[in-house]
Amino acid sequence: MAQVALVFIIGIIFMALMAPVFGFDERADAGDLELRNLPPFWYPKGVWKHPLGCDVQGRDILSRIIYGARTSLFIAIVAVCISTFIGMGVGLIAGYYGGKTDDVIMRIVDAVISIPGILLTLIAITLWTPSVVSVATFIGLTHWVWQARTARSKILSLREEPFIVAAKVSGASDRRIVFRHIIPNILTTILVVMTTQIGYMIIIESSLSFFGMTGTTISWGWDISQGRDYLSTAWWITSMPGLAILVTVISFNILGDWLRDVLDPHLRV
Amino acid sequence: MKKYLIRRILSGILVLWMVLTLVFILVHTVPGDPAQVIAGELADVKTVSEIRAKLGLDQPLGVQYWNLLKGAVTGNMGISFSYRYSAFQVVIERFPATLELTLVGALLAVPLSIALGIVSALRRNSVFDYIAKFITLFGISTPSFWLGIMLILIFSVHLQWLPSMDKSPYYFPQALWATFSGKPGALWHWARHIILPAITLGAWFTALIARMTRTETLDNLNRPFTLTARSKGVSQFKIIWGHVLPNSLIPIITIAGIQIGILLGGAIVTETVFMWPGMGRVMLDAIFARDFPVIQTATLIFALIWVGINLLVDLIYVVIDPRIKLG
Repeated sequence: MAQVALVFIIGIIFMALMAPVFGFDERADAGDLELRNLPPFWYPKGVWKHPLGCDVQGRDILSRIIYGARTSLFIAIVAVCISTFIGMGVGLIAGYYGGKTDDVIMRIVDAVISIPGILLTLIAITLWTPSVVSVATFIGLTHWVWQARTARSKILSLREEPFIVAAKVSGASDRRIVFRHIIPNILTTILVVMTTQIGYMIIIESSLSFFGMTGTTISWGWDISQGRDYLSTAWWITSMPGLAILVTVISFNILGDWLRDVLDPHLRV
Repeated sequence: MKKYLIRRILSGILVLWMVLTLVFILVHTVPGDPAQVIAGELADVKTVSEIRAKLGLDQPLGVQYWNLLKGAVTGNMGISFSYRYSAFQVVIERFPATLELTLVGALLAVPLSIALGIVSALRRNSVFDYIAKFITLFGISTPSFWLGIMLILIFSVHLQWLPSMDKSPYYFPQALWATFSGKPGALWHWARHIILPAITLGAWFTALIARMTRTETLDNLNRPFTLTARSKGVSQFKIIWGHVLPNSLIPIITIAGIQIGILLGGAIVTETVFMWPGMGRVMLDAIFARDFPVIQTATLIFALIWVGINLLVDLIYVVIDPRIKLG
């Protein structure tokens, strides 16, 4: 399963990167009102040229899905990198220094976690001008809590390990201990969390796009919201982009589960 | 115990204070002028300065911050721009609808997910386990707004069994009362309206808890106390019910409590899809309308619920695990 998921992920990243080369960007934008709400190919009216049918403005749904993958994947990956960077930093400081520092940081984490993440992101986005980059940044800035908690709990147990204690006793600086001993030991855990988080970030991004808040109309979530009014006449407009999200997120989750089983079986994500 | 409660309540207040401060900073670091944003780009200087005065935005930041904190304590969070009455009132009026939806969602999710998790741990690598794995994977990977729309597509558009939007005019106790006092259809009417939104809201939570239950149960099935119980001839049912489940529940409810924020966040999405007249939708409308008093109030209430539920979780620990002593 994990191999299938990995192949699919590589495939969709490749397609997303190469979309302009194959002309999907033009096809995703070019509407033909005569093809309005054209059904997928297995319907008598469907045509092979538009295998998944067309949307309200007669644009090819498959092309929009492939081109829309760029938005989702870009936002998800950038957001995960930002959130991991912050989360790891916060978790490191809290776990390594412990005591009062840990208390203060964990209270802040409590405060951040007590506001639904999507709410915080929504507020931030409405106040600033939404663009793909700012949305990715805001999702990253508001969703680092899991990484922080995981890193912290990992470090709390690492700190008592003989090799860390030995390093401390032999006079190694905090910096050396953190960069040479602690970070290499939590990297696999962080990798697992990152993989699972990408799937979650894609869901967040698509929810925000669904509300029309990512500043772009080339996105899976936006297409889902556009097809809502045509549920009874053209179900595919809404269903197909959703299936794309579902399959992509499932792939990242399967990959994450597999990585966890291989790298860090005791981790609970 | 009393000392512990006081300490927890104090730290809860600390969290709420930080939430307020966070939102305050967020609102006040907006590039440009919130009053201008509200008035629109074409508004003239006079309108903008009027709005600024009305919002109290012309006062020094310290005063505004103090007013916000004072308002949070007294429940006076300002007048909503769009509804033109107390923001607190606006949010609180819609609170029962969200509470009902979340409770029904959680009540569907928790028993189902724990059962799913336990059975798939007991029948590890069986067909059932694989089916359960597939369901939970599906559950954590589906965006809830899309799941909601798909449920509408199947049950409202095609089968025409259930309504696609709106809430029954009754809350559950009222519906129950009406059913027994001459309106037999009331309860059914209530259930028909809440079932799809509740499933949509609970799906992600179900999957999350089921996965955790499975992991925890597998872990505890191999612990010495389980082996001891088994060697003494304790029945399988008693082992699961008396030993494995209580030990598995602690981490499960911890995570469930922390993740309640996601459930509440899910309410924003679910309520929008199903036109559910709750806090989530009022919040989203407020965000679109830049209705800051409502945004601040709703955020505060969301955080308050989170703090309350996590306090409750700590108290549940004591019930489940007598070894835990609070204080």
